[in-house]
Amino acid sequence: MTKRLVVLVLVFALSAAGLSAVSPRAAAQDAIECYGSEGSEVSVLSVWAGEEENTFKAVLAPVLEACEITLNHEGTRDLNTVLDSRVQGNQPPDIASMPNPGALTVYADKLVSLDELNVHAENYVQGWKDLGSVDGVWVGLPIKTDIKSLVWYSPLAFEAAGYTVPTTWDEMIALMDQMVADGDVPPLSMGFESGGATGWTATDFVQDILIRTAGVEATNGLVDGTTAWDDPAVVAGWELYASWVENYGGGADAAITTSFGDAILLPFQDPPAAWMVKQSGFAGSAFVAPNFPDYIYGEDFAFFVLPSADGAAVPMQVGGDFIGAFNNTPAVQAILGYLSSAAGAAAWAASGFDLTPNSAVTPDAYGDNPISADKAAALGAAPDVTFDVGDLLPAGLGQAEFDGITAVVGGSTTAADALADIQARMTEALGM
Amino acid sequence: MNRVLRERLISIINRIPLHVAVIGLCLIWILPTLGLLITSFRPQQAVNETGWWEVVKSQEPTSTAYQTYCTDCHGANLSAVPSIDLGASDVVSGFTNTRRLAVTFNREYNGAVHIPEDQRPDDESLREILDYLRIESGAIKMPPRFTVNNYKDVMVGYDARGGTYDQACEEEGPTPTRSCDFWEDATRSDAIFKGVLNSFAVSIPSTILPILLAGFAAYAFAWLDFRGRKVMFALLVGLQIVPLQMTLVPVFRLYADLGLNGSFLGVWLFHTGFGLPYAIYLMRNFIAGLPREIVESAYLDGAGHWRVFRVIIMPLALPAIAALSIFQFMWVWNDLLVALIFLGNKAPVLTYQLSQLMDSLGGGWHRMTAAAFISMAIPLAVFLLFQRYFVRGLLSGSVKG
Repeated sequence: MTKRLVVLVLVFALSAAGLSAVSPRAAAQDAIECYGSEGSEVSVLSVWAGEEENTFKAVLAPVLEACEITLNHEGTRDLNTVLDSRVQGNQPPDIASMPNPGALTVYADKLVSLDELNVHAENYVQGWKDLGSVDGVWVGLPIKTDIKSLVWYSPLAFEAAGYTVPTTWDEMIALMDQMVADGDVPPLSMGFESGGATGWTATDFVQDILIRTAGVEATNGLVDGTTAWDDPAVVAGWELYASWVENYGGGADAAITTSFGDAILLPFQDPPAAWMVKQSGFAGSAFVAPNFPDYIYGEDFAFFVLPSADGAAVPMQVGGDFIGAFNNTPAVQAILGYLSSAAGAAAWAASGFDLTPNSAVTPDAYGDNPISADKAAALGAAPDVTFDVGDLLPAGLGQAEFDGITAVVGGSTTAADALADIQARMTEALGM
Repeated sequence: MNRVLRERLISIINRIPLHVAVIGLCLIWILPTLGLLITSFRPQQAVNETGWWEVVKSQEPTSTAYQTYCTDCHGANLSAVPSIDLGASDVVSGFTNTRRLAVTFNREYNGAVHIPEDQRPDDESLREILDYLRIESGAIKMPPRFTVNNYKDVMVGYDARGGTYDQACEEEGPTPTRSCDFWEDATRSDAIFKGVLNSFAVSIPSTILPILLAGFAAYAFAWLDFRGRKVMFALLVGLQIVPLQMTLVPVFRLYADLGLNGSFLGVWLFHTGFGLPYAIYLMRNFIAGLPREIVESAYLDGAGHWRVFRVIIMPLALPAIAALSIFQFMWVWNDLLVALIFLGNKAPVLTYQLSQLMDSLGGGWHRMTAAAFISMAIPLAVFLLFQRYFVRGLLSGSVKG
């Protein structure tokens, strides 16, 4: 277990859009390989329902058409339940999406090694491969990634009120203090209710705080135990978050009972009910744009990267989805081959469904989608990336982290106690 | 006379707590349902902005704020400044929200700040001004208070995060998965009618089967004398505590061997199995409570078990059967988990299809209220159909003396 975690937290470099130009290799990959899958069927199980399902199907459409593959896609938000019963009942889907690297560990012995599946391995940097590997076997193809260290705001509201985008940590705090002084409250929309997973947006936020206050190495160390969870720097980060909820986020009750989705919309309501919201890249494309159809990106809503102490670029926090294959069939090879090719990367980028970790993507692939293009640029500008800690933790501990931060914000426990509790469970999980 | 009056008064006063409790309970149930119902008929943006209880609020824009802040320059007719004619719809339609109006206050026009900082309208007045301008200039018609779009979207399975089926058809036209003919789209395989049909195909046998079997078992437990009757009954009653979730994987494996996954038969059997313990328990208690005399006189008249069961017990047990049918039908109709695991998209039932309308981040949530009412309509009809059996005392007067 420990070894696996060490591998996981290896800081990985991600070459995003803007770093690689069109290469002759990419052009060669444009031809879709079918591996003799014509006329066959493929079953895919994923968390993507609704509009996401349509987007996913649209990305796959070229390979399905070229190879005459019939897609049997099931999207469900109860992925764990369905996948678990299918796998244990020996009727797994051909391909399944895995919302985080932790899920790959669970099914590692049932998943087919990607090296056997004609995947374009050369299109993925080592860091992503490591995240998708269990015990040295690459089983999870990184399919999409989203950047998390963003603050969404309304440029027009800022202009009207005379605020400017902060470039350092101190400016950020000064800005929020100014907003409070002006009566523009709350400066931050911090609602993080999310059913059973309540707390996940809070832990993302805390991780961004820790990256900026305790440093990226200490933050990554939380996953493999090199940083203790009850380390004073971590405790200070959690306390800072809780104090922000009180001072800038409208109070604990509002934070715990407002759903993260509603919280995203508050700064963009008319008149605004908050001023900024720290949220992943999906906030703009999946929440603001569809709920306010006449808003223009860049004017009515936009984002900036949460500033660091000295304003220098710091590693970007990212999350990612993987897909794994349970069966080795020609259709599976055709689909994974396509998704990992340059053409697949371009199709994913153009879909606007977050970003693609596929390094064969070209900068102009995001061209039609200004939000994705700006996110890709922000990712490219970051010196490094760091994966969402909650998604890398051993089973159950991610949930413990969510519950811990919720309890701390709610005031039913202190940050020191909650973190000592997580550390105790971490010690147990790592067998230290 | 006085005494009678006083007694009446006392009895009325005594009943006040009861009445308050009844009315209170009704409100607790009805208010949220009413809220859902109203929300299901509101446009997405309105739901975002205001609560359902504000739906009755007047939407007529008032000119008070405009007169306070704008009349001096722009004139009462909106058009006093020719370069920014607030009476022109194309000028006003550019102001899609109040902030677009507010940013102009900082800017300088003819060498002076548009509105000095200490004279600016607050958020609410700003909103009032914008609403007034929109209506007066004809830029935007007030959005309708109510809409059936949520219901239409649910029925055709339109699942984009924003916008409506009608809008999409108007702007983009038909696509391979959408013909834009409402009835044609609603009868597609991923739309509502197929889901309703599948739900019926699952629910009806899953209701009849356990009740029929439970009837046989209950008759045996109530009227037949055999060894281990009590132990077996206790065991069956005890089976009620087995959580359904615990058996999903073993049953899935069994079905995988038998080839029952993805078939209606598998779901019928699963629901039957989990419906039986409670059904037997309820039926046995009801049948055991029937007057012994009726059954015994039937035996004396030469009726066999089958005849007694068919002609006497079953008709007399109708209230119990009706109650059970309602419970079982609603349970199966509303079930998502079992259908998700054993049927999935092979035969999508209504609950499965409705769950598909939302994406992993909750996009498309505004249609869920409409979806809830659509899925509620059929159990409600079933309940209304059967509810008279609840009240009708079938046994009254069956035994005299």
